[in-house]
Amino acid sequence: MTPARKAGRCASLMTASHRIRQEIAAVFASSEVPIEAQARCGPFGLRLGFASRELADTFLPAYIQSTPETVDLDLRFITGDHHDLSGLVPEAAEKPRLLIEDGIYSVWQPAVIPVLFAIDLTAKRGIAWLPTGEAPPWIRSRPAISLIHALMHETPWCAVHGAAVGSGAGFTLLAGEGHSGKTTAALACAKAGWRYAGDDFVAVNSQNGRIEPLFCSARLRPALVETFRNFIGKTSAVSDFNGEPRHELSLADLGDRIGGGRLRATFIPRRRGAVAPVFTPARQSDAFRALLPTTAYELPGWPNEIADKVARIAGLAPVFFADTGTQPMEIPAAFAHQLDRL
Amino acid sequence: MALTTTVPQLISQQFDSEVVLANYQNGVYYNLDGSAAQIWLGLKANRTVEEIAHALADATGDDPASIAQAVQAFTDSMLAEGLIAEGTADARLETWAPVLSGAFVTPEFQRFDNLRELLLMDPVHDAGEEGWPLREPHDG
Repeated sequence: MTPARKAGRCASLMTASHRIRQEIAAVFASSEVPIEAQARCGPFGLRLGFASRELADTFLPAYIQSTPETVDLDLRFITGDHHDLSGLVPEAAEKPRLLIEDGIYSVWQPAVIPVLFAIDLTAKRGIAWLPTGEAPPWIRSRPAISLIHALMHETPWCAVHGAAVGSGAGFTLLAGEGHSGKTTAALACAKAGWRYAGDDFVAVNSQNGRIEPLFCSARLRPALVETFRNFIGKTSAVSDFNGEPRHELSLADLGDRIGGGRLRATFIPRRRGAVAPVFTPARQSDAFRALLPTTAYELPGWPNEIADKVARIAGLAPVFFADTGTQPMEIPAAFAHQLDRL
Repeated sequence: MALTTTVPQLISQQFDSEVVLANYQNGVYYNLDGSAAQIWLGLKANRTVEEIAHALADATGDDPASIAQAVQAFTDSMLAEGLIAEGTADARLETWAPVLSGAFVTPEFQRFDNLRELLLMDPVHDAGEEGWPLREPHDG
C-alpha cells in the first residue's frame, strides 16, 4: 500500500466529527487573518476573521460591531481559494447534511451556492467555508446563524424567526411568514425612533423574555424603498435571487438604537384589508404556529428543543393579530398605543 | 396493536386545551381543539380508544355508543394522517381525565399546509441526524 493510500485509508476510518475538528484547528493554525473584527450576536460575543477584504465586505455589514466582554465564538470566513476543505464535503453532496457529534456541529448547505458551517463547541471555534467564494443573499444577511443556534443549545436562548422592535412600553416580537409585513412594521418603527432588534431573526430568552439583536441587517422589497429612503445608503446592495429582489440594508448607523429589551407582546402581522392598523386577540398556539415553522426549518438540529423554547416564548406575553394597514408610518403609533394598553 | 403519539418528525405542543402538531417531514401543521385534543391527549396518557370514549361519555353525558364510534373514526383518521402511529404505547399517566365542557362535538383536526412551499424552498430542512458520510479517498 502506498503512503498516500495508507494515509487516505486512515482518514476514511476517522469519524466525520474528528476530521471536521482537525480541519477547524488547521484553519485557525494555518495563516494570519487579514481582516478581524468583533461583534455581539444575541447574548454572545464574537471574534470574526475574514480571509479577504471581499469576505469582510460581504458579511461584516450584517454584524453589530462592538467589543464584547467575552468571546464566545471565534469565527473564520474562508473560501475554497484559502483552504481546501473539499474532503469534508459529504457523499451525495447535492443533499443538505447535519452532523451533531462529539462536540462538533456542522451543516452542509449545497442549495444553489454551497456553504459549509462547522463549529467545535469545546474549542468555541467555528468556520464558514464558501467553496466558490459566493454566498446566497439570505446567508449574507444572517451569516452563520446555524452556528449561533448551536451555541444556544442547552441554554434558554433561541434564535427566533421574527422581527423585534421596542419603545418605552417594551418590545414586540413580530411573528409570521415571509410577506406578512414584519420588515415593513419593524423598519417603520425604527424610522420612528424605536429600538431595533432585527427584521428576520432575533435572539429571545425563553425563560425571561429578554430579546437581543443578532444582526443589524434588513432585507427590503423594492416597493418599500420610497417609504424607507433614509435607511438606504451606501450599503444598500440589491440582490435578486429566484426573482425576489431585495435591498440588502445594514442598519449599523442606528448605533445604540440597535438593541434589545423585554418582550411585552407578540404581534402576528397579517394583511386583511384594514386601512389603519387593527389588533385582534390571538392565542398562544397562533404565536407558536407563526414562529415555529420558519424558525425550525432554517435552524438544523434539536427540533424538539426549538419547539419547547418557541412554545415557552409564545406563552411569555399577550398575542395579537395585527392587520398593519396600508400606511406603514401609522404602524409605530398604533403599536405604541397597543403596548401601552397592556 | 398499541397506539403511540410519539411519531418521528412530529412535534407536539399542548396549549391549555389545544394541541398543535407539526410534521417536519412534510411541513403540515395541525390544530386539535375540543374533543379532538382530548382524544389525542388520552392516547398520549396511554388510554385505549374504549377508555377514552367512556371518559368522554362520562364528561359530556352524551350517548356512549355514538361517542365510541366517533372516537374510533377520529383515531383512524389520525393514524392515516400520521399524527399517531402503531407501536410501543406512551408511558401511562396515573390520572387522566378529559377536560371538556358542554355537549360532545364530533372531533376533527384543522390542517394547515400553507407551509409546504416554504419547506420545499428552504435549503436545509432536509438535514437529518443520519450522519455525515465521508467520501472514500481516491488514489491520485
